[in-house]
Amino acid sequence: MNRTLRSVAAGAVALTLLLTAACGSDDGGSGGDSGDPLRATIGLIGPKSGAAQFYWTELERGIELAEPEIKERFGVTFEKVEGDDQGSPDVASRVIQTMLNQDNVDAVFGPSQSGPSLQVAETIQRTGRPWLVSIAAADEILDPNASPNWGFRTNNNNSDAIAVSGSYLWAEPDAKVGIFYGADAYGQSNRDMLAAYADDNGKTVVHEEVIQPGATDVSSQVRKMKDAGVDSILVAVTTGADTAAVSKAMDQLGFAPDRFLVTATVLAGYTDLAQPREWENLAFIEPRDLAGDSFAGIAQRYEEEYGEKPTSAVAVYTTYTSAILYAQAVAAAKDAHDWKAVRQAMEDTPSLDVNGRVWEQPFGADDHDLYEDDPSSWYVIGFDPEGNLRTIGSAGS
Amino acid sequence: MLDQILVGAAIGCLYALIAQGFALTFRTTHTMNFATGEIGAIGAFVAVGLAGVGWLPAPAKLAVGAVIVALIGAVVFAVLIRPFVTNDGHDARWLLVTVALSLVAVDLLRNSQGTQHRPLGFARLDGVLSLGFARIPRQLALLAVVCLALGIAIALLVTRTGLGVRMRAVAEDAETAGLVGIDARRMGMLSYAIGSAAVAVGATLWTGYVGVFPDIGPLLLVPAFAGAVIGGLISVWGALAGGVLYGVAEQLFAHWFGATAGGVIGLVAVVGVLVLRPEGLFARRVEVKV
Amino acid sequence: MATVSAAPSTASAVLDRLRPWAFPVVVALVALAAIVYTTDGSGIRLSNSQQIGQICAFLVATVGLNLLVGRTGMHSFAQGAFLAIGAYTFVWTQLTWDAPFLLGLLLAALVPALAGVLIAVATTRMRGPQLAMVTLITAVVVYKVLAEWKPFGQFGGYPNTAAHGSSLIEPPSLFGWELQPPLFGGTPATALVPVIVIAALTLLLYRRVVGTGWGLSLSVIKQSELLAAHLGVNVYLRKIAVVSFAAGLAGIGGACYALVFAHLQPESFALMLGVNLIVMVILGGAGTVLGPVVGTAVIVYLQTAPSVAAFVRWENDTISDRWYLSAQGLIAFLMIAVLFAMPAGIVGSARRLVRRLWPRRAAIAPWRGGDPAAHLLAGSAGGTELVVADVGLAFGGVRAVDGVSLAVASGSIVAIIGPNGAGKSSVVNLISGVYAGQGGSMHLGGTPLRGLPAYRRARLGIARTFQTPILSPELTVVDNVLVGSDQTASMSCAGAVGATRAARRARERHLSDVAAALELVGLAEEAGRTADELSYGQQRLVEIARALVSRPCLLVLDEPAAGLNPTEIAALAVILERLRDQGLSILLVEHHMDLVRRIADHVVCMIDGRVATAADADAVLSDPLVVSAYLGQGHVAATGGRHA
Repeated sequence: MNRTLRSVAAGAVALTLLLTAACGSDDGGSGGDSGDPLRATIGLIGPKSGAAQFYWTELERGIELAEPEIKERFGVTFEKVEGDDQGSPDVASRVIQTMLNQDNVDAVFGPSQSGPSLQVAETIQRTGRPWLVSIAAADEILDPNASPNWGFRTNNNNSDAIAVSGSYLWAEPDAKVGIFYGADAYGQSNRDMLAAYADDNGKTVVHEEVIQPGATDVSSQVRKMKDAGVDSILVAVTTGADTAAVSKAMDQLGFAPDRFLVTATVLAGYTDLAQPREWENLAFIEPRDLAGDSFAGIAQRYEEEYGEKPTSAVAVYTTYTSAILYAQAVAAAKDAHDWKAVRQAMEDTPSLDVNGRVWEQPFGADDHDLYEDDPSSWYVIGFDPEGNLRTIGSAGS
Repeated sequence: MLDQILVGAAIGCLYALIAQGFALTFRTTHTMNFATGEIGAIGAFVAVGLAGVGWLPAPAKLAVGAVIVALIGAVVFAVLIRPFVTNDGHDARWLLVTVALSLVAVDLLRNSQGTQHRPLGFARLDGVLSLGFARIPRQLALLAVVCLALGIAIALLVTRTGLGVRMRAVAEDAETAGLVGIDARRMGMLSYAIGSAAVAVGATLWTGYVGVFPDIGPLLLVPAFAGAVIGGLISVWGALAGGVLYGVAEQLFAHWFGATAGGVIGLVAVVGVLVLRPEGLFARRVEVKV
Repeated sequence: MATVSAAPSTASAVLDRLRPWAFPVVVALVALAAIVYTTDGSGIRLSNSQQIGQICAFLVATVGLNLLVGRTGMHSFAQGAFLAIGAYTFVWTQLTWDAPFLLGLLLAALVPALAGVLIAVATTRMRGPQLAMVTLITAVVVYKVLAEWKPFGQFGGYPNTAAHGSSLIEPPSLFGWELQPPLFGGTPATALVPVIVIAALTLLLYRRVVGTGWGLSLSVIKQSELLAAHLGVNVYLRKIAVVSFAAGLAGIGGACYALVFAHLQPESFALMLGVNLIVMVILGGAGTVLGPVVGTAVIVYLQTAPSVAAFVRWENDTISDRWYLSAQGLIAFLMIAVLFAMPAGIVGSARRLVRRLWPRRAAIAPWRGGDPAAHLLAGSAGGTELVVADVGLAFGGVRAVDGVSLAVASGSIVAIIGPNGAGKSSVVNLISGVYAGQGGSMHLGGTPLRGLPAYRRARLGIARTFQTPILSPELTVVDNVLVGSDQTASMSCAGAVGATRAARRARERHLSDVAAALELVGLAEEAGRTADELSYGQQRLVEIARALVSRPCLLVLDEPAAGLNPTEIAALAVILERLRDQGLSILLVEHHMDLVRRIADHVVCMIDGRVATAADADAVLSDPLVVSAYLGQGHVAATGGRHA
């Protein structure tokens, strides 16, 4: 028994090594200068494997969905080099080196997550390559002092979201605001920014509670929040499941604050895990009108193309946006391989049209964020009892 | 605070059940399955698959999941772990095999099922149960009752029946046990099957509350392992008490010092217990024989 | 490992002289090649350079872990946590004080080493799963602290643009050189020079340390802490030393990591890192010098290998785009396969294969001196008297030893006989210090033994063997005997790291002791074989040789003749007589009456925990009480009342 097992295992080892060796040969990093100046070699990097794979899926599909439009409008085509950062910063660092120096990509899309993005930010910046940050939202990824700045973000960053959230939370000037934040990167940065926002506006965050990702029960935190007399709360956690844990406990303890604001991460599976009565009062703010034509149209095409709903329609939309932005700049610069010209063209983009939504002069030399923190351009969105999205109104009012 | 103790005890019952699986396999085979959390995840995904089968009542769905996972557990032992069962306390290859297995399993689950949370689709109780002095969500109450009942049943099986005696015999001296006709391999497979089935039931009910996703392993492994170690690793009753104790401590520390400190203090408390009593709170010290 | 040149011919003598240099030279050449490759500054090599840098950084940590896992048998998941502590400490020294590079490196080693002391003190009584639990908790807690502690930038990274103005540390300078990380094309990755050099030095250091008495004592601890104590090793302190030494190496690995990446994200230091480091050691071959090198390189390479990515694509195309394994799963699968196919890891299994094809030549020069017994006992105080008076020992309510008194005069052989369960071994264990016992007194040459732990008694000159021989199966006979020398007990970790001329001379002296001991017990031919290749009887003789190398003044043997054939017993008798004639005091527990009758000057017969008779051999062996005790209850009629 033992002996057979051992020989089977030995065979498996040999086979694995052989196969990986055999497969190695057909993987030439072709990349680089193809003859066509409008054919861009782009590097896609994201967590193809690991615990957040959907961020890779949405990155890849966001680009794929945009390709026909890009070809038609700008005559630009993509050759894609894929990199799996496995959600790990050090792997991302190695992958990015291969992309920048061996595959010689014309632009980098990703990494999808903030941690790997932060690890490679300086490298891409100093190497100098058009960099599309389409999903990761941590502010520090784009160094505001970098000049020229190679990174362009087509998602809103965290601090903009928080600034708008702040104005919503403190709509009543004497509102008592509290925050539940996740013990992860996303939660922490949201907490810090809300505190900073409060400082800047002469407010205070009355109470803070940490939510451990995946916690079974958070009634202790919710009870303390309730006892602190908070009437306006922000929940900044990474998954819909964690939001559900909070709203479940709020429901059980009969805690119904006037304002119950969550972040867009609620879109990931929340309504599957919670009861309609828990989300009656729930809202989140978005710089995109999720029920509007531009956004919903792309989500619709996604469903037609892949036969399933996107896990994160926002990530798909922002990646789609980044592809249009980049392709338009390539067309303007007339050469994808002239990286400086492409970067400049992105910075000088006169007008960006994404499936009907138009931005006029979205960027400047010291503004590489597509979205602004003007509340009137943001939407307040909630769920109807069936769990469908409904736009409640503008965040400015 | 009584609420917190009650909720902690309820979650602790889940930890306790898994901890018992550890204790059961450890006393029988001197090994335990570090892929236990992933075994639980497989059980939960099997249950999700069965959720659509309308004519099957919820307990039957749980039972089917448990049986499938029990078979997986037995096979895992027979094929992957058994070759590394030795009397050498320093030979930890079984540990590495099961850790590697957990990585393989979680990778497969992530790739095939996606990493998102999804609803279990049945066995969902809404609302809160009020016991007069404290309140607890109904679903957690269900989790606690089922896990506790299973835990007690397993403990009785192991300590009070002939089967338990035979398992014990294998644990003490597999060779001599073999001479009187007890098959060590079969006893090992049985203990793994029981442990895995228990985990499957507990984890499935739990995911009914928090959602089903591939990465539940680490959330269950560390607390359950801690519970088993507190209980002394070889005592099934000790594991039961240890798991509940850990659940209550975790919830209480989190209540007093905040969620971050709570998790850390809970773990440090486990280290404290081990430093003072390496053999665990509920196991007797064993004299060294030269 | 142990080579003393015998100089038969000049050519082979030159070869023998060069042999010790072969390994360092090869390591130096590989390191040099790596440095030349990585520092040329071209962008196209950056990814590989970074990979080499990461392998070297992890290698420093896995070499340390190998000391724990491979040598001492302690499985720790905390090595990744120590690496993280080192990395953060190093970056902290750079950011807050702009500290000199070497000072940063020193602190990066010291802080984790101190943390290691804490862990070691806490886990000293734990084994197996408990130890795994505590190290796992350490890894989880350290990660949480790094990820949630504000001064370290949390998930914003350390350093980060918001708090520190840049997301990279300033390149530290070493002897006026700027140490540039392998991140930017056109800038030579000078930071990799110290990283590669440190990794190479660590490897050489490991190789040296495991060959010393200190290093061998770790293998003994792995085999049996009891044995280690009886060789005079303070197991408690030694475990603290090795855990903290390994943690310090991990810390240096962390500093190297920080040099390579110039930025730290807490995600990189989650529990998974600790698991990966262990996997690297085991995959490569725990306990071998090159194991961590191979394991670390293979795993770091496979993480991003183009061939693995291509293999995943192949899986998707031919099997399923849902049911497939990605890189991490494939590595784990490979790990399982390796554990089955090559239980000793890649290097360990390869070495076994090589050994089978080319058996190792004798690892030690044969003894060419005079009487080996005289050599081994020269200079000892000529045998010492042991006096045991009225000692007792109880387990629970059972009195295993009850008021036993006996004496071993210097230069004499005393045998304890008695039926099974009479308490003979318990008496031996009381004398060697396994049990504390109750009441009475024990003196060795006038020095009171009561209250002394086993390792102190061993240092006083009590050497013993065990009922079941305890040897390290993977070590050679020479090394198994060599651990008996006083270097095992007395050498410090620092002494192992920086071997002095005196230590080298001491080692040569001990090797000649080993040669003498092997000659005496007749195992000179087997010197190069590993212990697991020996017969049971030979293993017993190795134990006696080990005991003799410590130059004892009292030799305690627990059933030395059990399992020996008549020829071997006769040989054993001769050996013991020769030792006695050189003045050694010997106490043995024995069932074999012919042996006892032949060599014992004095015989003590124990029954039910008490001394029943004590006299010369012939008198005791003809005592009807003794006869009845051995032959059963039927013979007790006449004297049954005496020990009711």
